[in-house]
Amino acid sequence: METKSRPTETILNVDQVHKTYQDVRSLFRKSALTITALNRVSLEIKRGEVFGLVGASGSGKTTLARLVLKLEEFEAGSIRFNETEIRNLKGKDLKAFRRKVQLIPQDPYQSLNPYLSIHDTLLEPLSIHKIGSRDTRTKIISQSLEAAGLNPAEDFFTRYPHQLSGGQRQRAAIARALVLKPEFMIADEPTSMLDASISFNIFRLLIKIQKSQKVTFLFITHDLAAARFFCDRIAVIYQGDIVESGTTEKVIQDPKSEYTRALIRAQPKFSFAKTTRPT
Amino acid sequence: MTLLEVENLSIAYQTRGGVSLAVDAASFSLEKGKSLGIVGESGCGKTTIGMGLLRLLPENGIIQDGKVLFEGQDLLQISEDEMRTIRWKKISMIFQAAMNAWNPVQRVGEQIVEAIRIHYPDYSRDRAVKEVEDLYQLVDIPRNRLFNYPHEYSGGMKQRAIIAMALTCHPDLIIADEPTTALDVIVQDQIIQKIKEIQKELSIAVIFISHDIGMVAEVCHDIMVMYKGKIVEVGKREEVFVTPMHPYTKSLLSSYLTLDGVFDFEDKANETVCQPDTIIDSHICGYIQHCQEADSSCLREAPRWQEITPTHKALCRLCK
Amino acid sequence: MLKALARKSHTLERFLEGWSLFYENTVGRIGLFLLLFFALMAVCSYIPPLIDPMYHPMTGVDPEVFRSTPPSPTHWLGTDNIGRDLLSQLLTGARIAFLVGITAAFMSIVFGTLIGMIAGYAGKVLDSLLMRFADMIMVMPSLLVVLLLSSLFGQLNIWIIVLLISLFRWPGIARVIRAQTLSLKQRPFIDMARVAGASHLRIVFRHILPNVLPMALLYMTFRVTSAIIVEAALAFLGFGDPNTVSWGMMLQWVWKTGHMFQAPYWLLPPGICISLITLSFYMMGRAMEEVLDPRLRKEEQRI
Repeated sequence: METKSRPTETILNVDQVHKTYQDVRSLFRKSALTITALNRVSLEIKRGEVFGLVGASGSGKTTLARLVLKLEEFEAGSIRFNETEIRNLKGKDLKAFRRKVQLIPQDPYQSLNPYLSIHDTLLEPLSIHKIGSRDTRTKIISQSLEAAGLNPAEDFFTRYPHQLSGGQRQRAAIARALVLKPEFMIADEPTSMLDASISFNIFRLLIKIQKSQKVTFLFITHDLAAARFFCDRIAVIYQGDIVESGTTEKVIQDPKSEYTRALIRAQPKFSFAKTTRPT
Repeated sequence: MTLLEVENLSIAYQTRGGVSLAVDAASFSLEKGKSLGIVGESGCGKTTIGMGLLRLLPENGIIQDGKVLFEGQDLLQISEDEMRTIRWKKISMIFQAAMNAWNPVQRVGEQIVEAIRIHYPDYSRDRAVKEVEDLYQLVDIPRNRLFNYPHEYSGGMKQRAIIAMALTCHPDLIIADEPTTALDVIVQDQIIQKIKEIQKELSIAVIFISHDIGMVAEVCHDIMVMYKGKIVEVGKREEVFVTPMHPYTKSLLSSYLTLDGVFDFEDKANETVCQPDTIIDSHICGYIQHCQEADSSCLREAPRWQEITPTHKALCRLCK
Repeated sequence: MLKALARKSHTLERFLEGWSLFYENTVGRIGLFLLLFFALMAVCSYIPPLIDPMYHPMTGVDPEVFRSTPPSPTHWLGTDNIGRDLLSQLLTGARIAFLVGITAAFMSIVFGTLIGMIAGYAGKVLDSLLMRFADMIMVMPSLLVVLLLSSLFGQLNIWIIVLLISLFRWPGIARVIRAQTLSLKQRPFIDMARVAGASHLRIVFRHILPNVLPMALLYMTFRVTSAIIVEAALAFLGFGDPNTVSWGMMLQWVWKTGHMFQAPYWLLPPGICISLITLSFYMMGRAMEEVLDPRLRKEEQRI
């Protein structure tokens, strides 16, 4: 499939994963309604690539992220991370897995504990995994904050989430994901709550991190343009089904499924202005 | 013919911390049947302008100064009763997340019929229903869905019904404030195309408020960029996108991702760069801390309006 | 200086912010001043016995008085039927009211918050079990049960009464804290803590507890009110600790010695004090509720 010389080792393998939600039974409805969030979804992510999962809200893309992060259970199929099935991970193995997989959340404000300072927020993963002495921890925290573009790091140590701007909060959330030096990062609509000018800088930052730290990214978005900018390969998900996947260019220039075509058609058009590919 | 002329409109909010200026001396005008887009990030005052035009500001909002001339009449001087006849009949609105404003226990069609009969008491029920049917055809909702409850509608349909509602009294101006937030890309596009179509067909003037410059560009003839309560650039769509003048507009455009990449505009940037860390005077340009082009004179003098073409102007000292 | 310090400490900053909101609230201010007045009374209760042993609320008897006397220069509020000073009894009553109210409320807060957090966080079977248990206690007529217990075991020590009150008063708090925990559990920062590998214990105590604490403290003010009332009722009915002077005990003595209608100077002060102290805690609670109300807070954030 891949012609370019790209590392071909598989880091994440999602195989025939099925997930349903039960609607609460009410007085008027005898049987519980079952909603299929993911319908036998399969995908494969290679080490070092940026994989985009594109879909509308309610398409199941966030559910998939939650399953991969082992925040929820699923009914059927398997998810293998580094050839290890994550379904039955417990105790030590689960902790080791948590160290390797991190999340960049959608809403940076809601995902930072309002009662913890930025320093304490970043310290937490380190103390959970018992990494480093006190001094090395401080060093790791500084490095992560600076890598996320919060300079100088010490200025942010004693600040609390509500004292930061939206962009700074998202950078703090990224820094938290970086402290454990994960192999695999999931970014769940990392910019949907931010203004356009800020979100572009966050993209730039993510690309920089991806290149410098050789992290594999699963990038979840509703924005095809952002996916094209950021991803090597994408999969389009619609109502719990993956309708199309392939290299980004191929999917966008030669869409096979009707939904992908509709998605491309719905993108704003700017016939009156000139555009260039970003570098 | 000029439909709306806003002069020096200043709106402030009374807060616990004192009075904060949300809109600072905004002036603009809108021709009949044309559309104007207001863009800016959250908190720049764009929603406040929309609400201010209709005099629907929250209780702590104060219109400090200015004129809003609508068909030659100053809306800020007339009584609340007169204003009520102008709202809906002459100027109607589509609010942010308006689709959640439907009363969940009343049929959607019924709610629109009611609205019509409030404004036209002499209409019979049948005539009002007929009117709603015509409007539904205009916004592409099947007639048999007329008397469904709101929860039986999809998000896009609810929003289209809101548009139908806004059209009930054949207004001359519609103010649409982020009419597509919380909708999917495809539905969003449908709504935008519908607004555009109706605007053309009925030649209604539209003020389209959005944080998304791409969205605004699709609908509007003219674009107005706002930053921290000030209008910083006004121009025709093509002018703003091809030759943006204000550094803030440039940063907005260069950070907008389209499917085909980023915008390529003519940048006549001034090379001297100065990055001040403190604002010395509140009269100086509000964008100075982020501006890539500001020089030391920006620190001393207030920005001035620079006319680039008769239709295109920017609030910046450096534009020539 | 306080402001500079506040910038350093988040908790202090929040506190100052809440405080200014609280102080603007008239109801809260009245409650606070009333409460300060009672606190002053409680502190002053140590003074009269120092002046003269005859002012001791329990054992001090004025040798010249053999029946209840109205207010006089030596006894500002008068004496009871055996010549004990009513003012010093009233002052000591304030101390006991604080003691009973605050310890009982604090204990019920500890029980309620712990059980509420555990039930809300664990969910499923444990949640159902704990909550049904809470329901059972909630519907029990607590006063009646305490009366039964004390008639079984004779006179109860004041600390046993405090313990009993707190054991009957946690379910309400547990329900509120559980509801808050349920909504907190859905917040992304809890997911983030899980992704970081945090244990359940860590999540509950480091992430959920600080977030429910303000609510727990708010409920504490309401619980103080109910604890004081229950203690007064028990004492009045004759099931109080006979070795303490509480306002309820004072009322019981008035009634038992048949002075209900003969000695208003004896009956009214403790009655008024019970009403006012419960009112003051209640008013403070209401004002605090307004400070903590998320809808009001949102208005603040909009600035």
